[in-house]
Amino acid sequence: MNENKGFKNTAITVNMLWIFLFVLVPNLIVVVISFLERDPVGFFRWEPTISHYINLFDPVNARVFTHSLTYSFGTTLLTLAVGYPFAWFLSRVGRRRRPLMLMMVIVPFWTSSLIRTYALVILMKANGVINSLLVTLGLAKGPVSILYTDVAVYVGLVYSLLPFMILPLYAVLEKLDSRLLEAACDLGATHLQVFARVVLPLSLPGVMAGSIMVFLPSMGLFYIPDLLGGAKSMLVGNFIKNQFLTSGNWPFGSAASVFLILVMVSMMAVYLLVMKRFNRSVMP
Amino acid sequence: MPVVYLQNVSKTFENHVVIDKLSLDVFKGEFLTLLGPSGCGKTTVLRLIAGLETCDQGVIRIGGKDHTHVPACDRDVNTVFQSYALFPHMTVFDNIAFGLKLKKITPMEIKQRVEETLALVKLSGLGNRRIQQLSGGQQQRVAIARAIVNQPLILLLDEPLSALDYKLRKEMRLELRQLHRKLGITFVFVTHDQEEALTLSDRVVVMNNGCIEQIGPPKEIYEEPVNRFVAEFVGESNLFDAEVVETRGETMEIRVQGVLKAVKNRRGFQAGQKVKVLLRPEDMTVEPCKQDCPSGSFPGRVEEMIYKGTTVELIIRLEDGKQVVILEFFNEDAEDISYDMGEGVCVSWIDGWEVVLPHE
Repeated sequence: MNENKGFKNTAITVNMLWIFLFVLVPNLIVVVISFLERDPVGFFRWEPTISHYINLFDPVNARVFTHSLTYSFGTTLLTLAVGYPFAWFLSRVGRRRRPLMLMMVIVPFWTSSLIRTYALVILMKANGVINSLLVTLGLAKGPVSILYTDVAVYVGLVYSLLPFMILPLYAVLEKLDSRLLEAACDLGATHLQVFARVVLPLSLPGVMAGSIMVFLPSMGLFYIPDLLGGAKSMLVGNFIKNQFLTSGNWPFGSAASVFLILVMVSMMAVYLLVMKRFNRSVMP
Repeated sequence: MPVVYLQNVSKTFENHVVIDKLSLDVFKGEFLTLLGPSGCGKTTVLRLIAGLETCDQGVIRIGGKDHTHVPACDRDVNTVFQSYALFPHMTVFDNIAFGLKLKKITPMEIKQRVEETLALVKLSGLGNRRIQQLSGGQQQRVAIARAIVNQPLILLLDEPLSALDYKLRKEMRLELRQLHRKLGITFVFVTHDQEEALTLSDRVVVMNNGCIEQIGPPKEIYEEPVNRFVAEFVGESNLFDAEVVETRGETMEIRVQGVLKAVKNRRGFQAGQKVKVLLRPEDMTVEPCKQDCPSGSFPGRVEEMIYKGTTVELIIRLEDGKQVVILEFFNEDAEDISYDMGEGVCVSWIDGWEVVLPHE
């Protein structure tokens, strides 16, 4: 009994220490640095300032944020549009075929997302697989530029984040009682009306969870726009990375990441609030 | 003209024939019950009428028009589901208004009709409640209200009372009858409970293995079952093997348990034919045996006596080992019914109350 307690305490202490040292402290350092002056030699000077935060709202920098938000929003909508029908199909397909289809969603996780992004580059580049195919089939006269366009960035983001949309949606749709759909049909609802009035409202928790799980990471995935969008599409993730690694402006990079964290936290708060109200209305 | 007309309807699920060339007419305004053991296809018949299943063969006509391929949403038919299937994300009011809203009825009229229906199912004032806040019995009423508010041509009820406890079930039975009378809608009711079927219906359809065994008013089903399945499924019964000895026009003489008895011959049985004699427990009589049993009765011994409040059930073993169940009522002639275990008795039945069935 005593030994057990000792093990429990040690395990908790080690974990807490780990989180404290490698999660909390670095983040606190980031917050502190974001309020300090920049220094060309030592990265920062012990002089408090809020100029970096004000700087974030400079039109040039603010555009990075709005641009990022547009990308993330677009990615969320696209994954929703692709993921919802797939999750629906997955939840209605026979029990025997379902594990195989779920595997197809999960298997890509076994490879590093970075490597999969490089694979997309090979597919989409000027003399890549897709262009060769188009030219061979005579559908295009010469190579079509896909890589380093907005399309390529969206393809990469949607591809990488789709499972995060499908899985929460599947979890909700799978539990949806098909008798409710029959009841709606019986009461005179067409397929579209059944979807709009019964399926969609009841799957809203999944839509919300999936959207959050796609929207938030898409803001930070810097290597996808880097590799697929070229230098043109600067997103928050790249922006922060550049401040630290290229411009050597640690305080400004810190301010940008603190701001990003704030945006994410407030979105999570909205999500939790909405879900709480939803649960109160649906759960017993 | 029947309001629902099924002709030679067949339905197969994964090579398993669920409905086999079934034909059925449902008349306007009647309370029709589909009765049968689970798996007999009664729910499938209901779902075929609702349009939730499509038949492989046959024709379905509703209100005189061919509905064989009309989808569920375009049929003037509503269902009360066994599990109620109420929408958990809507209030009681919104659940009931669901069908009306789809029909583009003005909000004023919707409100009025929902309120009326709520009153009809005795749920006035509960419109704003969440479904989860209701008891099972109340959810049942919402399910009924949600269907009848649309004033369908036919109301289908799929074992709606099976989830309720005994007392509530009896109460709801009475209310369903009253509702049926008030609304004048045709009810098609599915159940495996023979008591429910007999107490509620104008006509009962007894089903087995995807086929109809017998259709008729409850009294006829109970008193004149056409075969052994119906006899045994609807109520308790004692079956005796017998042989026709001689026929005399409307009557005949049969040998049953080694005793000769005169019975009615309604089905044109021939001398020498093997038959079954069906007797309900309450149609049989029992008397203490003094010495020998009078002619026409069988000697036996009391094996068990079960007191049931208004009746006493006697389980009697006949001399050849056959077991019979007899129900005795307390009345002015028999204020006290009492037998000893193993006491010798004479068993007979009230003349003319037997049903003679062909041997199967």
